[in-house]
Formats: sequence, structure tokens, C-alpha cells
Amino acid sequence: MRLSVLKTILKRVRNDDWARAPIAPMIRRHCLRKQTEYRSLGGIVTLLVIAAIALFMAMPLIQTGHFLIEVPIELWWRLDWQPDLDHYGIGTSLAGSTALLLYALPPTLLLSHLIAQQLVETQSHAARSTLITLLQTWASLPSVIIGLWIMASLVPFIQSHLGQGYTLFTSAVGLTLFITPALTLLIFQNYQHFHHAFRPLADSLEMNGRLRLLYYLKSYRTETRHTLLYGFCRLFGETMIVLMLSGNALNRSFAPFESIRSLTATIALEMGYASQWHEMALYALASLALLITLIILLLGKNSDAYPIKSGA
Amino acid sequence: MKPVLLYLYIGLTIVLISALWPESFQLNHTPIALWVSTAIVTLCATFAALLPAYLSAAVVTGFYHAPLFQRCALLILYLLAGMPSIIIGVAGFITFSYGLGLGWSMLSAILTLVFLLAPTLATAFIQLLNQAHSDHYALARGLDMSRTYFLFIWLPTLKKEALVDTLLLGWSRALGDTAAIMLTCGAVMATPTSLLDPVRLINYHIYLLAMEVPGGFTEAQSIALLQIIMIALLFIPRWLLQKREPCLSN
Repeated sequence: MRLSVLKTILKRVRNDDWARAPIAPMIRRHCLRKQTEYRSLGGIVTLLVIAAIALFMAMPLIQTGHFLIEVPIELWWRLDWQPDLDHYGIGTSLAGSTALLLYALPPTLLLSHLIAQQLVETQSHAARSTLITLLQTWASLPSVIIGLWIMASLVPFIQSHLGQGYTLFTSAVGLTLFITPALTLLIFQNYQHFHHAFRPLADSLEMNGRLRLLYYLKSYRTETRHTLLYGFCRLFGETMIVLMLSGNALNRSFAPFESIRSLTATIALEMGYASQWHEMALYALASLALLITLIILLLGKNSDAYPIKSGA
Repeated sequence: MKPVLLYLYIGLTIVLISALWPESFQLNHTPIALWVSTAIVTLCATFAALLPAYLSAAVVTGFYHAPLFQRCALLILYLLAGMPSIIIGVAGFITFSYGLGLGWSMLSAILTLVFLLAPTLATAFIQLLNQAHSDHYALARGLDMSRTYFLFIWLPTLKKEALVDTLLLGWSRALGDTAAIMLTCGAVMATPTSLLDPVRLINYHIYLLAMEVPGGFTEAQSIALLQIIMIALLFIPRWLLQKREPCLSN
């Protein structure tokens, strides 16, 4: 650092001049001279990382191009998925994913908000830290473990009463249990901010817990939208739980106790043995999932917010 | 407010453990090679993802002044964070296993996992660097500390705990993922001799035991229970530290 800058800082400290003339702008001016030398390094590294990621994510789309050109649209824009007969209808798996979202997203969002509210508003520090640790542990559990748990406990119960244990309902329960902890930890950060900012006001208006939650949803719309999108992406993209619990039957049913197959489960189930057009069709399914996720994420894009992948 | 949901989660944890408690503890079909290859793949991926994630976070938080790239990096990280892991698995399969000719191998799985972990680690680093930027950076520059020194020597030394937390977060995410790596690492149970060998990771092994091996459910339960204990051991020390240092809301 230049000696003159240091001398000026010391002079201002002695004169107790901090409030009227903060030293930060002066230091920043001094630092600006050195910024240009790093501009190229930061730019090159970022450009390389961005290019690598963009190319990586574009690979399924590139592979799908050939399939979309060669296979007539009536063979894939239909409802039956029979690769042996060259019928690559995307309707069945898309219906399965939609049904899962309809059954799992509302309870996941409700539970996550309720738990996050209680986590913030509980008076006991010990209870809060214990619940946070439990949620972090749950958020880190592999999806196959949740799938295994539901297979060992809920599936036999439903099987004994309804005959079919691997259903839309069981996979929705598994997904809800799997996604809720991560979503709760995401909402927790936002609700904590709301709690500090608005709790005195809410108390003076004698709001109860339900009203406070509604007020949070109303006043933190951007954060709520991001939570919704994050929940959507996690539920739409989850594969292993659906693969283990949904029964994987090619049904287009929205009934809770019917077996279904989701888009991601179809890819995971058939990628191991698929070849030629069948393999291309699976790439097309992956591209479809990629495009749906991209559209949903870009619709909810806000430059100030950034969703967190895991229970950080 | 009474912590009813805390009791609910404690109850759920007890139910989870009791449901996965096997009748007899079996690890007959789970050789040690599986644990070794899982550790190699997940740890290598976590360490490989550290640098790109850290640099991306540094660009996003404004340490490197490139406004266009800053916006691009933010958008790419945001999109990658929301991407389903099976899509990343398919992209990894096409790019590394098929495109680069690496086949089903540990290297393909590691490279695929890097793309999966980068946004998770970058998010944690963004939080860390944002705080460092506002708290320390101006003064560090005033002391003529270079940006590289600040980012790569001073900050890691000062924020060791936060870095270890981020590493643990990344590692637990790598351990927990199955869909992305089942398409890239293969399913061979032999001990790997090089990074180009196909391996089977532990989560995929649990899935195969539960779904495709007759009578394999008990063993799947045993491994799942071991894994829950391992994950809990990662978080319990932090919980004990939190109990000593109250720093949350209220």
C-alpha cells in the first residue's frame, strides 16, 4: 500500500474522522488500479467453465437432433411407449411425471413451510439445533435408502389392503419424505429473515401462526416462487425413489393406487440395454426433461436469487 | 411454540432405523472393494469440483471484474443447480463414456459428478465469499494483499471450518447420488486397478440388491443402516458444537 494512503488513514483515525469520511472508498480507489491485471484471468477461467458446462448440457440435445429428423413425428408424439414396435410415445411417461408432481408437490410445500416456521419460531435453542441436525441428516440420505424404507414399511401395508403396493401414492409419499428436509432448510433461511423483520409487527397485530405464514407467503413472493421451482425441479427430476416405488407400469392413470412410470424412471430403467433408435428415443426423453426444467427455471429467474441444491 | 415437528422427526428417524434394522446383519455380497471404489469416486469428484466451484463463486461474488461473465456464471450455476441428476447422468454418459471413449469407468463417473457437485459447492462458496468480500476484502486490499493470495491462502486459512463444512456437504451429496453415476460407472464388483476400470458404487449396489437380487433385501437393509450411521456421524460433531455456541435466530 502507498505510504501516503496509509498516512491519510492514520490521520483520519487520529482526528476521529471516520463517520464523515469513511476510508473504504479511498482504499477501493487504490485497489481499482490493480483490478485490470486480474480481469483476463477471471474472464478466461469463467469462459472455459461456462463453455464446458454449456457443451456438456447440450450433448443430449445434439444427440436427439438426428432422432427428431429421422423418426416421423407421429411415432413419438403419441401415447404408447413400445420401442420394439418403433412407437416412442412420450405421453405415458410425461403423464406419470405430471401425476407424481400433482400428488407430491402440495404436501411437500405445506410440510416444508410448517417445519421451517416452527424451526424459526421455537424458543428452545436445543430443540432448534437438534431439528436442524436431523433435517441435515435427512437431506443427506441417499434416495435409495428412503426407497428401501418405504419398500420395507409402507408397501407391504398397502399391498395387504389393496393388492398393489407399488403405486403412485407410495412413490409420492417417498418423494415427499425425501424432498421435504432439503426444502425446509431452504425456506428456513428466508423465514428467518422474515421473522427478524416482521415479528414485532405481527405480534402487535396479534397474528397467529397461520396468519404469520400467510403473511410470509404474501410478502416474500420471490422467495416463495423460488421454493416452488426448486421443489418442482427436485420432484420432477428424482429418479431412484420413483424407480423403486412406482411399479413402473406403462399406465396413463392419475388414480393414486395405480402403478405408473415417470419420464426419468423410463430413462434409468431402459438406458442399460437400449440400442439404436431406442437409445436415441431415451436421449429425446432426456432432452425433453432438460427443456422442461430449463423453461421452468428461466421463467422463475431472478438475478438476485439463487436456489440452493442441498441442505446447506 | 412447542416443537411438535421435532418430535415428529425424531419419531420418523426411529421408524426409519427400526424399519431398516435387518433380521440378521449380512454383508456377504458386499466386498470391501465396493466401499473403496465408492470412497475413491466420491472423494475425487468432490476435490475435482472444488476449484471450478470456488473460481465460479469468486467470479459471481465480484472478486474478478468481468460483469458479462459474472451474469453468465450465475445463470449457468442457477440452471445446473436445478437440473435433474439423471439428465446430468445422460449428458455424462454421452460426453464421457460414449463421446470421449472412457466407457463405463470411474473416471466417467468422477467427471459426471463434478458437474453435479459444482453448483452445490459454488452455492456454499458464494455465501462464504460474499461474507468475506463485505467483511475483510477492502482491508486486505488496503494491506496490499493480492487477490490470489486473499482467495487461495488467506481466506482458506481463516475459514477452515467453513471449507470443511462445504467439503462435507459436497461429499454427502456425492455419496447420496445414484441416478447420475449408475449410467456412467458400470456395475462391476471387482477391485479397481485404474481410473478406467468400471466399478459399482454402494447406492447402486443397494438398489440392485433390493430390486433385482432374490433374497438381497436383508443385505440392502444392512448396508443402508451402515450408511445412515456414517452420515449421522458427519453431522453429530457439528450438532454438539452448535449446542455450545448458540448463533441462530431469536
